[in-house]
Amino acid sequence: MSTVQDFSNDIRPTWCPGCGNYGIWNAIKRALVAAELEPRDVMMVTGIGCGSKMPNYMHIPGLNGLYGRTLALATGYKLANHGKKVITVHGDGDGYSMGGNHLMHTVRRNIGIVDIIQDNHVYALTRGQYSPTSRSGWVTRTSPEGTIEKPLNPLAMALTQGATFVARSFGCCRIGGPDRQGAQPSRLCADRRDAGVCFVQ
Amino acid sequence: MGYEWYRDNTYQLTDTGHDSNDRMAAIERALEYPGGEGKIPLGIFYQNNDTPSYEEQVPVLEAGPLADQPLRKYPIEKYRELLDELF
Repeated sequence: MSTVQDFSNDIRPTWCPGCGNYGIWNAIKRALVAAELEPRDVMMVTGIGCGSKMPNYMHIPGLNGLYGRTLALATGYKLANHGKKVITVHGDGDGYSMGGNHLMHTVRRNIGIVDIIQDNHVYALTRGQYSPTSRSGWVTRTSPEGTIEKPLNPLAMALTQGATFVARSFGCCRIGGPDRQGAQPSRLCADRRDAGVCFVQ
Repeated sequence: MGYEWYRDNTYQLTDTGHDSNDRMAAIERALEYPGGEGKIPLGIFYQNNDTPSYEEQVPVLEAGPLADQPLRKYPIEKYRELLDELF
C-alpha cells in the first residue's frame, strides 16, 4: 500500500507561490494513493511549460516531451506498455494550441490516458501571451488592445468527439471543503476502470 | 483573478442534480463556460464506462503489453523474407 510520500521526492518546484500547479500536483499524488498504485505502475508524460516540469518533482517514471506532442508520446507509450497508468499533464498552450490536433484524436480513439490540462488561460512561462482559452478582450503582451478571438471550449469539443470521461476542477480549490477537493481527482484514477481517455480541464 | 473570484464564480455540478451519464446534458453544461453568462461549472460532466478503449481492441495486445512480449516472435529467416520483399 503506497503513501503520498512514496510519490514524492525532495526537489522543490520552481512554481510561484500560490500557483495552481501545487494543487494539481497534490491531487495527482492523492489520487494515485487512492487508486492503490505504486510508483512503478505509473508513467507521467508532460509537455513544455511550468506545470510540465511535474515529473521532475515526483518519484515516478516520467517523460518531458516536445511542446504540444504530449498526447502523441503518451499514446505511443500506452500502446507499448498498456499495463501502466499513463497520466499526461500539460497546459492550455500545449494541449489546445500546438497539441489541439492530438487532443481531438486521443479523445476520438479513446486511448487509456488520464489527460490533465493545467488551463490558466495564458502562456505564463513565456510571460503572458494570450492562449486559446483566453477570454475575448483580454489585454496581454501580444494583445495590447485586448484579444479579438473567441475562446475555445475544450470540454464541449471533447464531448462532441466522443470523450468517455470529461471533468473540470479548480487547481487550488477549497471550494466545498476538503472532502470535495479530494473526491474528484481520486475518482479519476480509482473508480473508473482503466479503459479509455479521461479528460480533465 | 484570485481564489476569491473562483469561489464566487464557480459551482459544483453535483449540487444541481446533473446526470453525468447524460451526454447531451453534459454538452449543455460545457457550453456554459466559456460562452455563457453564469458561473463556471466544476465536477464530472460526463462518464461512460461502456465504450471499449483503443488498446483493448488491438489484437496483438491481447497477449499482454508489447514491452513484455518477446522481441523476436519468429525465426530470423522470416524477417529476412520480409526484408527481401521490400528491397
